[in-house]
Amino acid sequence: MSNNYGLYIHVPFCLSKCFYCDFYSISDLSLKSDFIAALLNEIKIRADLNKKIDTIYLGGGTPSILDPFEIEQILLNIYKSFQIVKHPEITLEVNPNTLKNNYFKQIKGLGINRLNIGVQSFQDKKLLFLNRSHSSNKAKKTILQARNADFDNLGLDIIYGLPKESFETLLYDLNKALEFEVDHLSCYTLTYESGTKIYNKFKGKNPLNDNFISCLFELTSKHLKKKGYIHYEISNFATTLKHKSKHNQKYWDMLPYLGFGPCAHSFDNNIRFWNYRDIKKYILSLRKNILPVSQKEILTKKQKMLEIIMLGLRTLKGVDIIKFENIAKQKFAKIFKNILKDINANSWGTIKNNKLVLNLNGMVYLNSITSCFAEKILK
Amino acid sequence: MNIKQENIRNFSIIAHIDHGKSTLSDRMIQIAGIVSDRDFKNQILDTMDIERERGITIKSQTVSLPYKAKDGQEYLLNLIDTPGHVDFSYEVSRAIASCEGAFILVDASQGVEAQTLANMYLAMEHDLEIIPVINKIDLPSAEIDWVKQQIEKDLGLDKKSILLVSAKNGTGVNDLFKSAVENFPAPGGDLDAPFKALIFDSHYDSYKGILVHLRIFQGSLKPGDKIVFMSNNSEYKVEEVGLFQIKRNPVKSLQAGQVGYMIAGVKMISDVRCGDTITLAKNKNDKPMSGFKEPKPVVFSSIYPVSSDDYPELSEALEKLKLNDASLVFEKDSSLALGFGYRCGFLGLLHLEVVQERLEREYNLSLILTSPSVQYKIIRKDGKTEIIDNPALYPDPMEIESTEEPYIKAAIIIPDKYMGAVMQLCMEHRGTSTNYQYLTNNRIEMKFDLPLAEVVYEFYDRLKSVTQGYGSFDYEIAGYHKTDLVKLDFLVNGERVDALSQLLYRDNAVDRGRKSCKRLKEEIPRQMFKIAIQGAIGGKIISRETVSAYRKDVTAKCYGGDISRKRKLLEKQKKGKKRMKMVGSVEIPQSAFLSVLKSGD
Repeated sequence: MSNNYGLYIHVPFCLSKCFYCDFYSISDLSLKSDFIAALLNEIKIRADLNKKIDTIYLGGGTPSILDPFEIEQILLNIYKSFQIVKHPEITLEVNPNTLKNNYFKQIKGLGINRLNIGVQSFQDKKLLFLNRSHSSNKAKKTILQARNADFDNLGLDIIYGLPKESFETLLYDLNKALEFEVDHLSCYTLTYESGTKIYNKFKGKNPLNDNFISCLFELTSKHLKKKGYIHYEISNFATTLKHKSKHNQKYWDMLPYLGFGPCAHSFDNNIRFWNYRDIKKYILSLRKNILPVSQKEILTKKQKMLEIIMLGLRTLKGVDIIKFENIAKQKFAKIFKNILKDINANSWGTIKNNKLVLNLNGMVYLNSITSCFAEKILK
Repeated sequence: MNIKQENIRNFSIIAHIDHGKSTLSDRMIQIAGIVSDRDFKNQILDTMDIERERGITIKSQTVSLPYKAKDGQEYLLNLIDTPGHVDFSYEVSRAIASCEGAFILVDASQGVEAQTLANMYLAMEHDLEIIPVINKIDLPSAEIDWVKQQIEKDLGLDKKSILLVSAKNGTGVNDLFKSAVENFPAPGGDLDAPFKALIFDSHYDSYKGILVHLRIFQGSLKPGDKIVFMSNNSEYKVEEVGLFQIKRNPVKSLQAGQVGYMIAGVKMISDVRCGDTITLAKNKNDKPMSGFKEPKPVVFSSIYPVSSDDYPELSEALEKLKLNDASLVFEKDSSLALGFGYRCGFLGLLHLEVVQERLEREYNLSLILTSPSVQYKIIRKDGKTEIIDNPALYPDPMEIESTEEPYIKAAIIIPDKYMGAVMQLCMEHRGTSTNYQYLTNNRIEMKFDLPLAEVVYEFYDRLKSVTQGYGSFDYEIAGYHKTDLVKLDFLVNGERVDALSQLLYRDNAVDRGRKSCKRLKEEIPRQMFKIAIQGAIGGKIISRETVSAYRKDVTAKCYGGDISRKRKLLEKQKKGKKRMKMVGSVEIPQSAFLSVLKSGD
């Protein structure tokens, strides 16, 4: 297992706020240059040439709001401050509403080799409901331009499970995405996070029932698998194992990562900390050369056990039983005897090579199953 | 402020729910200028969170408004705000007893409603001067002439005295002040006679202790006076007297005719009784004044703390709430499943919900309420009769000769096109139509005899829905009728949960049992083993549902690097279970206990 780090940059700007999104972002772009100065300073303060980086991810917010020269500046500073492996995975999240001619060719020249385009849907009605500030046509144009710039690792985000979602509307979006022969698909179910517009509108209650959402999920998985995709994480699909998101895989494998920018999370061994969810505080703190850390937690043994299970169950790799037992100092099979019996009796998954892997039949019960494990651990 | 008695007016605003009473009060408070615009918020008299959230008034509140008439005279107008929902008519009667006049408020598009009528009769019984007011005249759907006609015909009031206002934009509100001064009589009461006052409300203030709300009928009261509550002879020394002007406004003394508050270091909550007479200690052998009628609770339910350690807190909270809500009655109770609690009586189901919410919010308690019940009469074979409201006390059916249940006389006012729908609704609830009459050419008042048990649950909501909001409803209790009563029990994994048991009419039992099992299945969260839920009458199982240990509930969500959040959700889920009650090995959430009553599918 590699001990390389992932590096995440949170770009907290958006042209407009989507109604479902609870990631930190603001639409006042006037702070952009102050933000970049602060970000560069954060990178400088945390510089450590002993740390090896093999994935860089520019997320947000809308990182494609940045001009190529700004991205160049950020990457140069990262290269100066850390040890970067040969052929790192460097991803940029793209919002179709920032589409500009030649943009993709320019950023490819900077070393970005993976794009993830926030299409969300190819149906304008859905886009309107989500308050995406682009049309389905603009999304299609964005994908084509990315292909023309010769990106061979191209991914799309799709959201499903809107109040009026049906099997037909879901299949329409999936088939449109398949037409572009993208290498990676992230298919998320719409969730109602407190503080968002849709949370307030629907009083925090999803109008679709869990059972129906689970059926949509099942359809997504079956349909994409039939078209040759690997369902390697609950919401993620790739054409080949090579096209998996190496960066995101670090989150699920509990490997170390460094997060920069407001609200970005960092994790190393037992320690997780995150920056202020407030760009002004972030900037002010860095002006004084103080790291903008908002909170830090040291994972307890139980929390670590819980995270290994909760993340492992989401992935095709499964729960690493050896890793779990090293922390728990108890036999996995003994602690979870009853749950494992249920999983086995219902053919929801298997244990092979010391990994507990859920199959699709089990995945649809993911929250229930995870809660059962959690209950055992927290008891 | 020293206001002459003839310059005082005590009045309330009577209206059906939603006819804009709170908005009108807001406007009057704003015009009187006792609150700066900066501090002003809508529904200013509705101080409870629940009142603002639900847009209803539950508690009567008082506010003293200064008013300068055109002739330069200073007046003090005491507005006593009243609730509009049928459950709280008791509060209305207390407010009315402290007034000399009332504005009767009618919505310009809705017209006169059943409760408007009922409350107006109440006001007339107390010889109040009544002035009709049509509100919401700014609405496009306002039908002022039609409503004027109703006021004349249905209420028998003079068309010429009607005031037209829009509380929303303030039109005509000034005329209300003028009219109050001109038309409502000044309170009487001999200023020089010995002090005598009636308690009409009280509440607990965390800084000042108990505030007694009183209406002074003769003499005056000032700090330093020694007073006595006549019902229990407890003596106190007055510390402060004052007026309600949103905030407490202390004054040197209160005189006959005035409405205000008194702080007298009252420590024992039970000493203060609404309707009690206060006199000076030296006159304690005086005759008490006639008080208010005791409110009669009609719905009963037991309240238990989710955690049995909270029982002392629950006791204290109920005592404090009682101070502010004289209609609440309670006594100790216990349950096998839930431990120690209280059996409480309520004025209706909304009252029950409000008490539950207040206990939970204001006293930070986590509670379980058992199935609400009415009071049934059980006639035993040995000839003895007893009244029970608690399923736990239901005797062995073999010992029962017959059973009776309370009925109500209901008055429902509707546009006549809903006659069929309302007839149907009342039949479904075992009602019999006794009479109907046209009030105007298309509005009709229907009268029904209905079992009280049928209306306590969702009748009012259903009436609103079948009449698209136009139906209004008022009732009075009207004695007992023979019935066929059974006790419906619920078993969770084979164990009877006494707190879920309910008494009901035999023909409704199977259907209720089936629906309740379905609801319990939805409310009881999946646990790590299969749970069987059964409904039973006597020893016979009539319905069954199973909660599987797992259900399809995948969410494919993106968390990015913020793994803590997802983990905290799982940790919180575990904590959330603390709001549940362990019954045997099964955790049952609060919501399950009330869910069994809902009749809809």
